Amino acid sequence: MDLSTPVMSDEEAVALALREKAFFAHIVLRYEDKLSRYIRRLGIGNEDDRKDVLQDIFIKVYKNLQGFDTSLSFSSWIYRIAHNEAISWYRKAHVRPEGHLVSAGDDILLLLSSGEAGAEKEFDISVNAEEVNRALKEIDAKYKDALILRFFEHKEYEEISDILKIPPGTVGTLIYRGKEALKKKLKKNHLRI
Amino acid sequence: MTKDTTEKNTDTSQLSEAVLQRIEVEHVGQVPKWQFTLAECSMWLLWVLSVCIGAVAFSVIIFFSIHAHFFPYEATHKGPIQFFLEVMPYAWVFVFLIMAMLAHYNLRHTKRGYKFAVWQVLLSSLIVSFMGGVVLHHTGFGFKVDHLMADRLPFSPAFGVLEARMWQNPAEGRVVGAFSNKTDVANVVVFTDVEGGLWKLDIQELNGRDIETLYTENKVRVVGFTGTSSKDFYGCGVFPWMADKNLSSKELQLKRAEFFERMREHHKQMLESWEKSGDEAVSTLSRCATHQTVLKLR
Repeated sequence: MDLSTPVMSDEEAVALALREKAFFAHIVLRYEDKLSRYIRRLGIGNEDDRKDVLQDIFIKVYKNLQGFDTSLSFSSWIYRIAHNEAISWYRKAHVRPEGHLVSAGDDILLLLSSGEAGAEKEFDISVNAEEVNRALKEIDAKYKDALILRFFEHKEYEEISDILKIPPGTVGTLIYRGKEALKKKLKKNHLRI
Repeated sequence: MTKDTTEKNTDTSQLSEAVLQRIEVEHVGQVPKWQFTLAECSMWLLWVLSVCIGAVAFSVIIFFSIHAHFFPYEATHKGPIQFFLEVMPYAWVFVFLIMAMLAHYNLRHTKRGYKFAVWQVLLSSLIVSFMGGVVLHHTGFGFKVDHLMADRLPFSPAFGVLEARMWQNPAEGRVVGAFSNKTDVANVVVFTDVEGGLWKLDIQELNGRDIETLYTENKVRVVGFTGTSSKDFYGCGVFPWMADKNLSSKELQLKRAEFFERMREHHKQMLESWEKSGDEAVSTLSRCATHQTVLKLR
C-alpha cells in the first residue's frame, strides 16, 4: 500500500509514526514535494541548500511529533515548522532569499486580481514571472509570506493564521496590504496596471 | 513512467532514507509529550502570576489615588494636578505596566494565544488585573502592601511617608507629629514632630474636635504658624493622620469635610466678632482667621 498518497489521513500517519519510527518515512514522502516547493518560494533557491533545510525540517518534525496539537491540521503544523526552519536558515547562513519565487505557470493574475471584479483587464497579459519575482522580493517579508501561502500554496486564512502564528484578522490585512505593495512595485517597475 | 518521474521518486526516497538514517545515527529522540504540556502550563502559570502581581500593583495604585484624593493638598500645592504628579506611585505604575506586558507575552505564547489580536490579549489581561486590583483594594490588601513594601523597597515610599514629607514644613505653617504631654502653662502642650523636633503648641484657638483629635490620635497634622520663639507653634487646626489607617473613601471624605468646616469656622468666628466689636477683634479674637495657610483651607 502506498502510504504517501492521501488514502489515510495525516493524523493516522502521525499515529503510525509515533508507534513505529519507520512509518515516519511516509510523512516525509507525503510532504517532501510540497515543502520543497514552499521553501523554494520562500527563497531557498539552491537545490543542495534546499535538501539540507528539508532534512532539518523533517528531523524537527520527528523530534516534536508528540507535541503535534491535533486541534490544528497537520499540514498547518508542518508548514509552520518549515517556515521557521527556512527563516532560521537565512539567519544562520546570512543570505538573502534568492531563486524564482514564481514560475511562469503560477497564477499571477489570481494573485494580483483576487477579489476585484474585472481586475484581470487591468493587467497587461505580458505580466511575467520575472517581474513578479522581482517585485515579490522587494516587498516586506511579512507580506510576501502571507501572499505565498494564500496564492501559491492555496491555504485558507485560518491555515495561514496557524502557520504564521498570527490572528486570522491580521492575515486578511497582510494579504490586502501585500497585494497593494506588490502592485505598487510592479507599477514602479513600469508595468502597465 | 517518464524519466523525470523516475528521478523524482528516487530523490524522494533518498530524502526519507536520509532522514531516517540521521535519526538513527544522531540518536534523535522525540520530545516527550509531558514537556509540551509543561511548557503550556508554565505559560499559563506565568500569565496568572503576572496578572496577580499586576492586580497587587493596581490595588496599591487605587489606595494611593483614594488617599491622595482626600489629602488637603490646598495647603501644600498650587493645584490638584501638581499634587497628583508628585504623589503618583510611579514605581507601582511601572510594576503594573511591566506585568501587563509580561501577561501579554505569556498569553500570546500559549498554544492558542496567537489567534487573538494584540489588543484583545492586552485588554483581557488588563481587565483581569483591574478586577483583581479592585477586589484586593476592598480587602485592604493595597494598604497592607503599601506599608509592607515601603520598608523593603527604596524606590517605593509608602503614601504616609510621602504625605509626611509634604506636610512637614513648619515655616509654611504645617507640622506632622503627636501630642507628647501637657505643660504648666494653660493652653500650651508639648508636641513632637516626625523629625523629632519638640514644639510648644498653643492650642487656644483649636476647637473641641481638634483638641480631641490631638489627644486621641497617635499621629496628627497641625495647621498653624510658628511663634516668636523658634519652638513655638500656634495651632489653628488638627487633621487626623490617615495614611496609617485603611479608611474607606466615605470615611476619608467625611474627615476631610469636617476639617475644612473647622477651618472655615475660624473665618466665621472672625466675621462674627468683627460685626460685634469692629476691626480690633481681628487681631485679638482670631489670629488663625487671617493666616495664609488657614485661608487656603477655607
